[in-house]
Amino acid sequence: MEIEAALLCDAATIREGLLHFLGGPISRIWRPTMPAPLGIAVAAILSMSQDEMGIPHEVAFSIRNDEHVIAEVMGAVQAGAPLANPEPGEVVLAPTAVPLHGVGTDAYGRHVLSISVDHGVAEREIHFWVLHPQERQLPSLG
Amino acid sequence: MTVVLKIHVEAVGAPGEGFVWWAESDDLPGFNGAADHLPDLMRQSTEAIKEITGDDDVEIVPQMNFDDEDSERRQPSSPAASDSAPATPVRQVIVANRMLEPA
Repeated sequence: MEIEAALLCDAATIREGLLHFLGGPISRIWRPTMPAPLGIAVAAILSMSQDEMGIPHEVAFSIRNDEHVIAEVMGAVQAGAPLANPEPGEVVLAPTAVPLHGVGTDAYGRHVLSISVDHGVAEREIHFWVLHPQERQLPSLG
Repeated sequence: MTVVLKIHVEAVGAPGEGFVWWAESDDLPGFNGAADHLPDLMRQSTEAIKEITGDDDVEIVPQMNFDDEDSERRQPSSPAASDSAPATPVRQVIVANRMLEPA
């Protein structure tokens, strides 16, 4: 089991086994006031070997800022039965889309999204920043 | 024999206290198991079912419970509409969350 890819985006869906994501990757979120919604989704792709198929796998997401954990999401991904005729080295790619639009944060600065599959078998972190729009302004060139 | 194991997950306690995974089976009335993490639940349930049935060859078919309010997030089971398709159906379910809601 590996996390092949993971990114933050505006929206993510899975249809007919294919991952669709819109507006990503996101690394900065501009919010004029606090607390504020993050307004993001997570798109991730897990790779499974043949013997990891057919059983559910725990997928845990958490987001923390410098103060505390602001969201915990627990879910599962389950692929179908092992392939009848797998090609040599073939793995199954399992797309995952998690809407986090309702998650709010109460602090500016660095945030960390942690993804853990099967309690640490595979892990990944995504760092992103929630900033005030004033920080968008370019410095004066004199 | 074949035993279908229905698996659920719920948030427990206060924020930060985590989640509990639990399992039941219509094929084994009265059986249930619980653990903090899914791999532990799978391992413990497999051992318990084999002990209850007395059969080492029992086939355990685990299934995430999709009869919850988030079931619409499942991937449709219809065949892929395009010429590019995944190798096998993959089902996803997000069944529990705890979030700091924006004011």
